[in-house]
Amino acid sequence: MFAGSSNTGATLWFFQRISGLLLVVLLLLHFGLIHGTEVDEELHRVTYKPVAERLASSTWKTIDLAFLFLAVFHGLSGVWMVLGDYVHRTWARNLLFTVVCILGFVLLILGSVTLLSFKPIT
Amino acid sequence: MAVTFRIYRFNAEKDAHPYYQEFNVDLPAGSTVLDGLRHIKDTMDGTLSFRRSCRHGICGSCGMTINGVNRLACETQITNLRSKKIEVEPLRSFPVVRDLITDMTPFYDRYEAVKPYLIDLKSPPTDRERLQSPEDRRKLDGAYECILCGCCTSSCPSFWADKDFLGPAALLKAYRFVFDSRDQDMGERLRIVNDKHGLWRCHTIFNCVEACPKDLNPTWAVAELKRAVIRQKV
Repeated sequence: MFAGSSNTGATLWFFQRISGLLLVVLLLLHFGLIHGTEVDEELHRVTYKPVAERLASSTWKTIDLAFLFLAVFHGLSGVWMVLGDYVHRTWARNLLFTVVCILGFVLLILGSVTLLSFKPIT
Repeated sequence: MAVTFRIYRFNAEKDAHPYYQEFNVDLPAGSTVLDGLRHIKDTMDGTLSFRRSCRHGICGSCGMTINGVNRLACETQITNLRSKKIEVEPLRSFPVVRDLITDMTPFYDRYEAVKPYLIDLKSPPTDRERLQSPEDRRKLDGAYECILCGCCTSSCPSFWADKDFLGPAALLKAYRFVFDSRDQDMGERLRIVNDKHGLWRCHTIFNCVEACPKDLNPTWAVAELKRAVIRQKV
């Protein structure tokens, strides 16, 4: 006990902070666009056209993919940390870790397919 | 000053389950909770068991949960509780031995695990003291004053969930030696706290800071240790 181990949680903790910082920047950008520059002045709400135009560009697809990866990683690593507090049996931890990884993988595939296959209706 | 003490009672040799017992007492103004407990033990029920020693907030013996908050009974003025009913319970999450007395072994085991002493890899000098600059000495302010009452560790939700967690008191002590300029084995101590039951179980909940009767800040110390571990890795 308390002899130090390779799987300490230090790396996960570090990347949780890094992804959190990047997410703050991306979220501010996201809210600035969705609730600022992309709001129709007459209708006072977000309309399809500016969002679709933005999502059609490869630069924004890359930014949104980064957003997706960071959000999924940050959220699920948080879930794993909470589980780590309460689940101590090795077999249960391994099982839950597998479930969290599969969930992350499915979310990434769904999000990536949605983003990459998006083509604006003209 | 008339108050009612509602006290957690449990005797492992007699009781199947713990229960609460009420005592109505009349105490002089300025009394502490410890004064009340001593009054009950001396005049009403000699079987009431609790730890106490110095009565001046130094020995750390009388840490207990008073009206839901971990405090030292000797430093808690009854008038400051602003209640005529005082509920006194043993420190949470430690096994109860009897009434308000808990088994502090898990607490001391964790304390010992972080090697709470100066490690001198070379032979100590024989012709002089191991001097420290005033700046280096100041780094230890807020870290060496811990009286080991257990109020912080007992109030920590991470400790409630993970009984192997080192806990705030042990981590604060680790900080005290990691950042001591005279200590020569920072790496070994950081290796000990860099454990899945160590630093990374602290989620900066700050209960330990609220509970500490000496106004210390274990959460801050844990953050500094985390930085030191990451710096070592990067």
